[in-house]
Amino acid sequence: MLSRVANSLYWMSRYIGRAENTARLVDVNLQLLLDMRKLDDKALAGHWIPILQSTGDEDLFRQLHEKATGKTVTEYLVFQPENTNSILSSLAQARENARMIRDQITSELWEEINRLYLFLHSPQARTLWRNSPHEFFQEIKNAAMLLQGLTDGTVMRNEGWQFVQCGRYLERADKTSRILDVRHASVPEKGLPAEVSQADALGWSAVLRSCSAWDAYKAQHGAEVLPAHVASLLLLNDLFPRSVRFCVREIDSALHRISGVADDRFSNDAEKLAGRLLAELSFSTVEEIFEYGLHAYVDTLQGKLNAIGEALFQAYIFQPFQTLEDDQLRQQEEQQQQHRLPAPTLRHGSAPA
Amino acid sequence: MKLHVFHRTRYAYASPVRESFNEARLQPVTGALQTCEAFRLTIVPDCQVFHYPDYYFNSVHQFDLTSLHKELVVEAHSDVVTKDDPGITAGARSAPLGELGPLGQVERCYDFLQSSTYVESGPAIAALAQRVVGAETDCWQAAQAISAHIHNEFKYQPASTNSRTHMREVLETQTGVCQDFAHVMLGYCRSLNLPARYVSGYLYNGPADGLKGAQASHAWVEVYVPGRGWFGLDPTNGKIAAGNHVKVAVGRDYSDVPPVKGTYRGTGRRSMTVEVLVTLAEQPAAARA
Repeated sequence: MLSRVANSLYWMSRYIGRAENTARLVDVNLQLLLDMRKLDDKALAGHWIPILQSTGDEDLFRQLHEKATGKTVTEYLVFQPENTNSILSSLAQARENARMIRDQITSELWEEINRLYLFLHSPQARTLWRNSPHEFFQEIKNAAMLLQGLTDGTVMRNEGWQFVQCGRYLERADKTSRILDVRHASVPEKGLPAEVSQADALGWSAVLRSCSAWDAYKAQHGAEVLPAHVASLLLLNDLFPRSVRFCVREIDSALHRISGVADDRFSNDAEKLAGRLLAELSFSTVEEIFEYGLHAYVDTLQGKLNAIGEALFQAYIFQPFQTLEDDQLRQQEEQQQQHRLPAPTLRHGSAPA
Repeated sequence: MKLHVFHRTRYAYASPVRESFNEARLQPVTGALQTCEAFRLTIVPDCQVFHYPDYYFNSVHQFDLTSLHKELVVEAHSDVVTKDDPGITAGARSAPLGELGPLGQVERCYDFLQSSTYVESGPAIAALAQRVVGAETDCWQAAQAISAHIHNEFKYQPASTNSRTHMREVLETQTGVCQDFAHVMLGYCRSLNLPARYVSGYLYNGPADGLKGAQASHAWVEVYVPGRGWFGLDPTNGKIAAGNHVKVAVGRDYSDVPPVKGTYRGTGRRSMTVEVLVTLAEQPAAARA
């Protein structure tokens, strides 16, 4: 398959995931404000700044907005065109990538992406957002889930599909780790928190709901929200489909299906890094992670996920420009037929050379 | 004369190259005057070799290497039994030069009367050739006169020309190697309407002495004598091609029969080394007696 097509499938999938996860993050944290006792500027900033940090766009935000309030932060994360990771920008890029490969995806998928894109640009979206933010985000989440379902239900399981899977799970693993990182300030730099305040517990439950992990958590650990359990579920759980370990396993197997190499071997850097990270997540405990420091661990983890994405790009998508020198068709050098003159005695005639 | 020929061509590239497609014309001819008893071709990196006869019935080995490689070695070993040509003597009279006209209509001669990549045939060259031939009217005698003229008047100087030197340059400088002398002779003969073809091969010139490692492949000319066939003349040595000549391939000129030719994709920074060694495997019966 063409590298260009693989690249577009991969990024289409990533941007859909990005839009969905940003919607989750903003939605849950808007709701969380309802539970806060006092809402002065400082408390608001303390609430929103970590969220901005988790998306990695704090600097740009400060250039565009003076204060971090619910209005400015949600505006920035949802509609701001200058923010390349806003929901609007993400969907625009998902649509642009899908548009370039319309012959490779299904018309159902294309129409839904286009519908969502047009909806976000419509006045109705603004109205809905003002009147009922929760419904607005629900709309986006549902549409994103519908897009993923359409992909699952209609797209051929060929090589391109594996690139879709890579994009989807890399984005999901990255965003899960970022959402978990939002609450890192409430735990000590190293080790487990001694006790969890009520406000912290609320914050951690918001983390769970951002990842649609609330029900999975209750089933696994009961109603008491403990940071160690949250981190364990979101990072190390084998069965929860939004945990980092689950996502990395999907990436690993998609990469192996692309190359056709056996699961316990690797043929390129992307497979090597994904396999290594999967083994690390499979054989780690949450105590070790807190011992190392949750924030530091998540930081390293994001670096490793980026490295997998970069290696995937190098292995399959980036075709180095051949210099003219290296790509030129050339004649093999030719050997001259120049047998040196035989010894004079063998020569007929007398004139020496 | 039983001879063993070793011919190794090694290409080294500054950076890995790929898509290399090559043809080797290295297998000595088997015919009335010469028998190739054994031929072994080795390519490194190893690859599949295909074999076919080309338009002039030369034996061609074709091979390609698609994956990256930094070095290509083509090594040929041949065992050949040769004998002197008793078909015609130096003093024999054949057909008059003036009666060669209709040969251009004979299929196997047509190609060998035209200009080709490195050979020019035409009135200008004919004038030069006519001066060499003088009053001689017999075509076999005329061909020998041309061969002797080149041998006597041209200066043999290695490295003075390259594999792509046209015969016009050789005529200007009167200097060259056997490939160039063969081209000049082809031009002269063809201009006189005498069919002549290029022969690629090897020359055995006694036990490897001071010339060790300095050997290379050799080239000479065959002219068509009406009613009798093709006969070899070696203008580099000014004599009839004999049992110490090992014939490999014939063509219009060098460009038809390079020992190894091909194309590849990759760097232009490369080097080629060629080693040729012709050794006597067995003394000829006459010499032993």
